[in-house]
Amino acid sequence: MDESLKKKVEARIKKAKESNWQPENLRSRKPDSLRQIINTPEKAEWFNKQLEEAFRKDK
Amino acid sequence: MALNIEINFENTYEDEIISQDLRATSFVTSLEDQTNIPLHIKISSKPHELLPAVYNLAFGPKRNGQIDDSVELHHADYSKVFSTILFHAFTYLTGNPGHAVGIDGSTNSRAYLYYRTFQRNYDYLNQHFEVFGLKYYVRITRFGKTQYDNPFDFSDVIPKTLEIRRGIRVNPESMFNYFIFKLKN
Repeated sequence: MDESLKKKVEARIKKAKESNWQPENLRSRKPDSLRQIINTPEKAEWFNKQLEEAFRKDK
Repeated sequence: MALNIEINFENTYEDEIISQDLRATSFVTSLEDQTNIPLHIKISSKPHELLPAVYNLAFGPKRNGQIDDSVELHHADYSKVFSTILFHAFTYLTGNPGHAVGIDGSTNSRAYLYYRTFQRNYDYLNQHFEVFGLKYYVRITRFGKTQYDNPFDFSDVIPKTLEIRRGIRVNPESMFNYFIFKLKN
């Protein structure tokens, strides 16, 4: 890490340590990538192909 | 949405405020229509349920007490916005050795933008981070009594990570769902 970046990071960490700010109960969405697997047409198509393949093998 | 994003930790917005544990901060960004809007960054206090030591980083404007990471904003300077967000991740990781930070590509197009940005800025990011892409694999079970039974076992999920290296092409349709940043040793 170069010296100016190191100083910039240290300054922010120092600023945080001196901070009394407690963020309000700010919520954030949990990563929901599992749901994303099937929430696009492309992924739905992929799933359908997997399904057909599994069905063929199972026959 | 801009695609030519240049990451540079010397080109960042000044944070308005930062929490003691480095998990929350906010800064004001300028939009194309010349209005200003506060953007919030929040790093989760609990690790990802499938990935020990990976803490989710969410960013966006606040709406109804929640970070809205799905809204599409037209930033005046995308490079500065993304540099600020990644610089915050860098600061957090410096202050929390052993942690990793994960960013969800909330849509395929957004994940693609992130991936292109990592590739475009590979040399710069590679000085500071190891970056991994994550895909989830869900086991297909044997069929149930009818073909309409759900064949996917969502309780049996394999999170497979791949290090993102220069020039690796990924089909946008099978783009990574999640990106993980670790500090470079």
